Amino acid sequence: MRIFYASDIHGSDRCFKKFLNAAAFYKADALVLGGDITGKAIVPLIDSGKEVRATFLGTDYVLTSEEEITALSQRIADTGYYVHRCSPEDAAAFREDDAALQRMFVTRIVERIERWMARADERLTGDAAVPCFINAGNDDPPDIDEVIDAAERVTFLEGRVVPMPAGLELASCGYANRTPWNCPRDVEEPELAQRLDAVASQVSDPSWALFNFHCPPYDSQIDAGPKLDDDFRLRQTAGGVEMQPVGSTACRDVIERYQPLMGLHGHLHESRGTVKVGRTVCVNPGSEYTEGVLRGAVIDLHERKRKVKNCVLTTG
Amino acid sequence: MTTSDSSGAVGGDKAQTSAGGLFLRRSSGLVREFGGKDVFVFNTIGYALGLVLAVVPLLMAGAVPEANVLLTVAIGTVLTVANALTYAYMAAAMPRSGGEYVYLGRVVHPAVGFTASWGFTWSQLLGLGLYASFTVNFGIGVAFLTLGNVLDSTGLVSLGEDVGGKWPTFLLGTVMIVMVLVVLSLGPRIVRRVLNVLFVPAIVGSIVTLLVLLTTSRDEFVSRFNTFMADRADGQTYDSIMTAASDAGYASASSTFSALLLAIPIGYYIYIGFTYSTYIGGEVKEPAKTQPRMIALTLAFAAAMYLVCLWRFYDIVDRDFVNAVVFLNDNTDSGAGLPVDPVLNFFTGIMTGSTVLNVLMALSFFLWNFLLLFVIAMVCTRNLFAWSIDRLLPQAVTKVDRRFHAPWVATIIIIVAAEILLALYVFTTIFENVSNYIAIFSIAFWLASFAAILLPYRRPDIFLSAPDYVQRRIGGVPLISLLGGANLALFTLVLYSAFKLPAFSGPTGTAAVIFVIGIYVVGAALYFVVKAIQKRRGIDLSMLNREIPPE
Repeated sequence: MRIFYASDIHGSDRCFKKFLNAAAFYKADALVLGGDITGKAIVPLIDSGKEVRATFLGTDYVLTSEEEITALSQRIADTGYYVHRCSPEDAAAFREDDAALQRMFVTRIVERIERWMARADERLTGDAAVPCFINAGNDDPPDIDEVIDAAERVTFLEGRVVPMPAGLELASCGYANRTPWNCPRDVEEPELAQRLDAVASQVSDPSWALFNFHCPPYDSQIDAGPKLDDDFRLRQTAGGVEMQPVGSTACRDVIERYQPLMGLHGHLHESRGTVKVGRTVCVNPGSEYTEGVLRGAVIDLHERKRKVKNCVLTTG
Repeated sequence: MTTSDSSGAVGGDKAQTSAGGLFLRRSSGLVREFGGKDVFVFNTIGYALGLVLAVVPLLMAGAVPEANVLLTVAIGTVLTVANALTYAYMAAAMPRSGGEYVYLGRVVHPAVGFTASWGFTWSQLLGLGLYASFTVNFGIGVAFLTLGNVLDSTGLVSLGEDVGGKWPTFLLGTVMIVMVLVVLSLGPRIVRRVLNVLFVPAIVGSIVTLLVLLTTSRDEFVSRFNTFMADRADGQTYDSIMTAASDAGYASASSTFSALLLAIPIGYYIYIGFTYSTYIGGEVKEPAKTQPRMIALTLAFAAAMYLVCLWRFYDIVDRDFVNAVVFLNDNTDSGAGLPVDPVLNFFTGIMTGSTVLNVLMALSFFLWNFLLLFVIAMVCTRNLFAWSIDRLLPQAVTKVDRRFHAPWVATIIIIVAAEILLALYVFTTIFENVSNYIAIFSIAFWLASFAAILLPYRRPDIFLSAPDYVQRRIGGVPLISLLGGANLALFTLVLYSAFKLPAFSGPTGTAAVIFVIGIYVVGAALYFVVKAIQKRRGIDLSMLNREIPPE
C-alpha cells in the first residue's frame, strides 16, 4: 500500500492543488495532509479608485487593470497569503482594530478552506477517487474544523482514530506544545500528553497504525527549530542559524510507549527527514509552501509483513 | 513554525502589521530571520579574504608575470559580476539550500544536478586535504617564519622551518582535520560559536594589513627590507636581488594583452566562495532581496579590499621585484634568499616593526586558512545530507548524534576522505600529476550556467513566480538567460586557463584531464546505478523532484 503524506502548506493554493493530484502522480492509495493548512498573512490591495497598490515579497506593485489584480491575487494565494481589497482609510482602520483584523482573517481562511474542500469533492471522484485525510495544526484556527468535516471526499482527523485501506489505523492530533507565538492550538505539555494519550489509546493495534501528530517527538532530529532571543530574533552566528530541538516531550513519550508503525509529523519546515524512535519510523517532510513547492513523503507499507517498506521524501 | 517565512514580523499575542504593509495574524514562525549581515559574514569566510590576499602576488608571479595585476583583478571583478548575478538570481528564484544541486536538478535534470554537486563536493574534499596542508605550510609555517624573522626569534624561525617537512605537514594537517572533526562533532551550536569567535581576529588582522599598507612608503619598505635581510637572512638587499635575477636571465617584461587575457580567471578565482550563501539559501531571510544585495556587497567589499591592498602592495614592493624573487626561487639553486615564499603578509610583516601588529596579522593569516576548513567541511556535510535524503546515498549518512546533534556519519566520511587525500597530497605525486583543483569545481559552476539559461524555458512556473527583477527581459530575452550565458563564457575562460596554466590550477596533462572528467563521469554513472537499484526497491528517483502538475 502506498500513502502520500504532506504537511504545513499554510494556505498555499498551488500546494493544495498539487496535493489533490499527488495520488495520481505518485500512484498512491491514500492521501494524508498534516496540519498547518491556513495562511499567516493578508496582503492589502489598497484601492484609491484610480489604481490599486500592493506590496508583496518586497516588491511594490501599482495595478491599473482587473487582469493585473487577478494575476497578482493568484500569485499571492499560491504563496499562502490572502488578499483584501480596501480603501487606504479601511487599511489604516484595520491596523488600529485588532478584533476586526482577526475577524477578517477568519473570513479569508474559511473562504479558502471552503474552496479547497469543494475542489477536493470535485476532483477526488471516478478514477481519482482515493481516501483523503486532512487535519489541522497548531497554527490553524478552530473555525476550519467543521468546514473540513463537512466535505464529502475528505475525512477530518482531529482527535480521532480513523480506518485506512488494508485495515491500517490513523490516529491524529494537531495540537502542539507551547510556541513563542501562542498559536490557536498551542497547549502546555501536560495537556498535550492527555490529548495524545487519549487518541493513541483508541488504537487497536499500534504496530499497524500511523500516529499523525503534528508536532514531532522532542530531540528526534526532525524537530530542530531556530533558537530565538527575547525579541523573537533568530540567533544567528557566522555559521548560520542556531537551532535547538523544539519538539514535544509528550509526543516522544507516547511514541516510545505505543511504538506505532509510523509517526507522521510536520511543524518544523526546515527539519525535513526520517528517523527511528525505537521501532517507529517518524517522518517530517518539511515545507516549501511559499514557493508553491509541495514537499511530501511517499510511504510504501508491506501489508503482509506489517512494516514500512520505503519512506521517500519528495519535492513536487 | 518556519524559518523561511518572509513576512518579517515579530511574535506576540495579537494580529499585527509588518513594515511591508502585510496584515499578520497570530501564528508561528513570524520572526525576524537572519539577514544581510550574516550572509555577508558567511560569504566572506567562503572566499577567505586574508588567505587570497596573501597568495595573489605569488600566484600571479608564478603563473602570468607579464600580466598587470590590478587590471587583472579589475577585469576579473567585472566578469565576476555575471557570476554573482547568475547565482543571486537563481537563489532568488529557488531560495533553497544546495546550490547547483537544486538549480540544475530542478531546471535541467536530477542527474545533472547530482553530477555537478558530486564534482563540486569532490573539489571541496580535495580542497580540505589541500588547505589542511596549506594551513600548516602557509598558515603556521609562513606565520612562524615571518614572526620569527621580524621579531628576531630563532625559536619561531626554527618552528616555521620544521613544519614544512612531509611528516610534520601530514601530522599537523591531521591535527587540523581532527580539530575540525572534534568541533563539528560537538554540534552546530559549538561550531557556530567557534566560527563566530575566530572570525573577529581574522578580519581584524586583514584590516591591520590594509592599514599597514596604507601607511608605509616605498622608501620605508626598501630600507626596512634591507635592514631585515642584512640582520637576519642571507645579506641580500632589495637592489642586489634585482641584480641577481637579471644576472640569472630574468628580464623585466612589460604587461601584455595576451597575458592579461590568460590571467583574467585569476581575477575570478580570488572571489570563489563569495556565493556560498546560495548553499544555505533556505535559511536566508527575504532571499529575493537579501541574496542579490549581500552577494553584491560581498563582491564589492572583496574588490575594494583586493584593489586597495594590491595597489598599495605593488606601489610599495613593485611587481618587478616580486617577479624577480619568484624567478630566482624557481630557476636558481640559491633562490632569492628570502626566508619564506614572497607572500603579501611576509612583506607587510617587514613593513611594520610592531610585535602586536605582526602577531595579529600572523594569527589572521592562520585563521583564514583554518576557518576555510570548517566552511568546506560544512558545505560537504550539507551535500551528503541532501544526497542521502534523496536516496542517492544510504540513509545512514544522515544519522545524527542525539546528545550533540552532530551529523557524525557524514562528518566521519568527510574526515576520512580528507585524511586520505591529505596523505596522497603530502606523500605521493598523484596530486602533482592529476589534481587540477580549479578545473574540478569550475565544471560545476560551468554546468550551473545552463540552469540559468534554461530556467525561463524549462521551468516557466518557477520563472514566473520569481521576483519581478528576475523576470526582466532585454530585447525579449530573459535577463537570467543572458546572465547564464555570461557565466558560461566566464567559466569557459576559467577552464581554458585552468588547463593552460599549470601554475594557476595544477597539472594540465592528459592524466589530469582524464581525472577531472572522470570525477564527473563517475558521478553521472553513480546516479544511474543508484537509480536502477532504487527502482528495484520500488523507489523511482526521477519522481522525487519532479513537479506535480497543479491543475
